[in-house]
Amino acid sequence: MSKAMRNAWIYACLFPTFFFIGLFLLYPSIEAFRISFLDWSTSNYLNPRFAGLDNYAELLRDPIFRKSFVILIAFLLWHIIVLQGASILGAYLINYLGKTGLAGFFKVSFTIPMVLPGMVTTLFWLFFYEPSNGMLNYVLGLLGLDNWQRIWLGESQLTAMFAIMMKGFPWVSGLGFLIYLAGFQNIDESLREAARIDGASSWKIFWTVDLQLILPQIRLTTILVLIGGTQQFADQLIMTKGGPGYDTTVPGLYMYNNAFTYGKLGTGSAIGVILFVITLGLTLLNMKFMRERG
Amino acid sequence: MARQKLARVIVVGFLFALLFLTLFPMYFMIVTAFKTNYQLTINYFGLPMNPHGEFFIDAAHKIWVYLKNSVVISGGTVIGVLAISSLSAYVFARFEFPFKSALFAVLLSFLMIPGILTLIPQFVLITKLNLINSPWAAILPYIASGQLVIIFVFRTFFEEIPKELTESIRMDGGSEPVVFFRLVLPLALPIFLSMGLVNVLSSWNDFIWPLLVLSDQAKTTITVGLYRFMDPQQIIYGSVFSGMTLASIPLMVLFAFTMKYFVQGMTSGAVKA
Repeated sequence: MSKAMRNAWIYACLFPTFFFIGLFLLYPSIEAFRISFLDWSTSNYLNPRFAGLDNYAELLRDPIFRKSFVILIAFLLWHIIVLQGASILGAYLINYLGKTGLAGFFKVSFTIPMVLPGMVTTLFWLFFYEPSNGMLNYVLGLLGLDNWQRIWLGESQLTAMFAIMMKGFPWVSGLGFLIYLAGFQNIDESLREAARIDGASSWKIFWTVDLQLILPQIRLTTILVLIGGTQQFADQLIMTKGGPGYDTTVPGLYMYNNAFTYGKLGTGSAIGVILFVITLGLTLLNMKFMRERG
Repeated sequence: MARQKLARVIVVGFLFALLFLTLFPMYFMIVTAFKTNYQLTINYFGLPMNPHGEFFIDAAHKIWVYLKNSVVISGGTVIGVLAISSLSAYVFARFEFPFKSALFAVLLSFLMIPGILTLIPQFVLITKLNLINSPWAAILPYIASGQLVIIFVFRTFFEEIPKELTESIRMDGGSEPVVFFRLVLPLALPIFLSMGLVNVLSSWNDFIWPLLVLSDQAKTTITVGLYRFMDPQQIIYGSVFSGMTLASIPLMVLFAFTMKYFVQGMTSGAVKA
């Protein structure tokens, strides 16, 4: 086979990949920037007008948009500290059991909810908070705490944020859990043994050996949570629709609503571009960490 | 020693408590699927006294079409993704050609394009292509974004296959397709399974995209279908929880036999959010 012929075959094999990238990723990415500079909504759908940076300027003045970042940061912090803490704890305790059948049983059992369709889990939690027949109010009623009952998802920012944040309790299951468990299991037992001989307590060994050695995993999942969480808004859309008012509206949901509820495609795209810049920064940070890790 | 034993007992007890809370929603979902609304109010947590199976029939009628659509979309996506990714990854792993590293860099750079940036323009594009309410509206973009991580993982895997093995087949007169189909694919089967399962889970669970491009009740996926199923006006809890239970079965069955591969795939695909 001649060299030219061989190269033609090679490029033919790569063609599907780059065709899909070009049409469904590259072109939309460029379009996102272009649309963000347009005054384009359902009312002038056929005649979009160039608007320069108007969409961005408008967003920066928009109190809902600014507030949405505060809300997002609250969700992200919660996710990074509490949800990750729970997976670390679960993984650590399972690893503590050593290579026993019981440890294997726990690992598999905690993985099961991961393969439950996400919507099933979300609908369960929607039911959990339902005002009249929901589980939370029912249990509060059983305990005689009727005056604690709330319209959890709609009453106030506090109850709605709390409700969304508590979704998935006790948060052991998930990708983070698997990553941490693998991390703990890879730690050389002799390191713990050495600390034990030095008279360190289990508590101290956890802080000085285990936690130190899974720092790379913590960094990885933190960045994954930051990148993924910045884009995530399905929970808010399903559970509260961003309400009450705009009290649980994160930037992603505001983008969605601008584009598909209010029909303002230009404004929506501008939010998309802003979120892209943020996640790009986080991704580059991630790559830097990955490289340091080798 | 006694102290260590005690610590162990506490840890096991605590883990069982966590596990109970983790799995409780699944228990509740299944038992509530058999209860009428009245039974739910008088016997909230317990097993149903005289179980009602009719809600399953009602729910099955409603969600059957969604399940079918989801199988078509997730199935089409995973077949397309694996075919395209293995071809590209193999070429990147085995051959030298002009612009190789530049092309791979382009590919990797698209890992950094978040879905949130392309959501609106992709919707406009799908509308222009007249694909709204067609399964292709979901399958094609899923393939485009799903292939990136898989090519990356496959390439590494293919590069690790010893050259002697491929050479020996070539010596016997085997052409490149023979090497690919007879040697590389069988070796790669576990990793195909791992990455395929992760891909199925993510397309099956996607909510926002089918909500936008598959708005027609008869064309939409199980995720959107279930969401619409929660009719807030007149909820029959038995039907809702029956629907949720039925919707969980396909993935449960699939993953029951492949859990090991799924866990491997999850952790090796963790390079991309």
